[in-house]
Amino acid sequence: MIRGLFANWRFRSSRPGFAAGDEIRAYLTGFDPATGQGTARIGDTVLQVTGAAPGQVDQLIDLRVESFDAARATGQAVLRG
Amino acid sequence: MIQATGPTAGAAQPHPAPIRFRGGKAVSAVPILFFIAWAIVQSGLLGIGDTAGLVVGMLVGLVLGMLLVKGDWATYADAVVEGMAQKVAVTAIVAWLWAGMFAATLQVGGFVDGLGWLADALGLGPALFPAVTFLLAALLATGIGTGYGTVIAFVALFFPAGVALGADPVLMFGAILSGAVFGDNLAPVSDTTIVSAVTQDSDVGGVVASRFKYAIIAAVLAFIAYLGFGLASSGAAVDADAAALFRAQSNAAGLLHLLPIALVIGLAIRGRHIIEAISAGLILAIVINLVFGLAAGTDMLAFRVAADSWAAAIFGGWPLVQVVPAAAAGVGGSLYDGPVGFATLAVLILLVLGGAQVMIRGGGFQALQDWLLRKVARSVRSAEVTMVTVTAGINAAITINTAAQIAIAPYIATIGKRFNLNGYRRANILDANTSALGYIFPWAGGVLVGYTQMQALATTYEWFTPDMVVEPIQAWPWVFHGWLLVAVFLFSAWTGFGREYTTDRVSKGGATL
Repeated sequence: MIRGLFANWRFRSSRPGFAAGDEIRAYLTGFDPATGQGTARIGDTVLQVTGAAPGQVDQLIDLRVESFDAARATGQAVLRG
Repeated sequence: MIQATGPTAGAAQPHPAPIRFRGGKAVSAVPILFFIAWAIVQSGLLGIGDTAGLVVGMLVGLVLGMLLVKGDWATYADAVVEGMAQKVAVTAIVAWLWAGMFAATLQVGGFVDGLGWLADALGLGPALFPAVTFLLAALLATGIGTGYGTVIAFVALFFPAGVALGADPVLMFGAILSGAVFGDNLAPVSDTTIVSAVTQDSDVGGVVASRFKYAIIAAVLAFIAYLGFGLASSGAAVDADAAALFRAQSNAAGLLHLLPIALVIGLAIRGRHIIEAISAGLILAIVINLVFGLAAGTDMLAFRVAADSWAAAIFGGWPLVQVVPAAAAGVGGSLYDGPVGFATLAVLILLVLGGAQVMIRGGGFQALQDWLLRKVARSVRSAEVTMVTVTAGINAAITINTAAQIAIAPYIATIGKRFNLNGYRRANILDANTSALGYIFPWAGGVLVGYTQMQALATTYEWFTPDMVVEPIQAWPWVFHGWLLVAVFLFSAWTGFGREYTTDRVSKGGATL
């Protein structure tokens, strides 16, 4: 608890970066029925998610990042498990 | 605000039958908006700080709102009663009644005289008094988890001491309200803390630890501000007669009442309900008053019978019975004076929650969220700024901050999750701005309980004059910790200070897969 009081005194980017192979847990923030692609928006970083279902929007899902473009803060990810 | 007894502090369940208004969902805000306009006119423009007048304002607002309902009025009437029946309102009223009894009993036992003696002994003058008051109020509120109870106790006990020593009354009241904001925001047993954690899928320990950084930055700045303004304004309001009378009354024995205060804090920290904690402290205070001769039994409870009545002939001379002129007959003492002053405020709170429920059932809140997600929250920065301003705005409007917090919590969760802000960050944005705005504006519950308590001081102390009373409309610029907390969060939203994503850490209690 005491240690926790002094944790995270830092400025976090609005465009967090990831690397291919990262395994993350995030909310699915959108789903496009036309393409079958989901979206996981982390701050202003947007990951296109393959393998998600429309019912998973606003739910935590486990993802693996396949590719990431740091300059544009966009990437591809797939649903794990 | 106050200690919750359940995970959601009695949030009203959304009702299946929506209320439809002529002119759309936004019209469901009419009762609350009318009440705010009334409060601004009454207390701001006309300078009338009468709580009963605000009750009439809310009643008229509720009647006007009903005239705008499409179709059956019954759903509207049901919503009003549903809002009034929420546990959150009852919990607040309970805190006021108990804190009122406790503070008044410490008053008759001479705790303020003890503080006067201590201030003299330590050489604590009017320059330092507001800053020290802010610190002590923050400590008490963090210990007992009730900002309202803290305001009541400090207005009854520290406010008169500070004012008598020459501190600026407005600065003193602002310091007390600031301390209440601090505790309401940070206390693990505060119901706003619990509601913020529960509604954002987080654990209480985690939200308290993670919000410490925001609270302490604001508090350090607020403390410096109270020091500065205390030094600048000290002596401006000093009344030599009042100070002399106050000093003449000062008495170290009153400090014995630090024991019941410590008992209340200790029990609250151990997780005991606020009723248990304050009742235990009250009993100890009564015992101390009687054993050490600090106050007579009739100072705490007195049945005052008319001199010419048969009751006077039979019961005159019994314990707790006083024979008085017929015009003064009634019940009295600290156990009576303490809680009775809050009866009008209790009615007002119930009515305001009725008005808030109309807005929820009428779709006003839903319309607000849809608009925010569509138009305002386009980036994580604008989303967080929106979360801060909307939470602050709704809390500025609804008198009891816990009720406002419960109403806005689902929308904060929705907006935050769309940007993968984790539960701790969402809970901290929600609670800080809830706590801050509950103690600033003249219709805020925290300000009104303080004002109610203050009005009683003139009858308690002979040196306390009506011009020492701070009107509710005067307090808002001086609640430094409240404003600074909002400022810290606007800064954090803009710069990313303290921001956490679910990819950094998922809060304990986050939705399971």
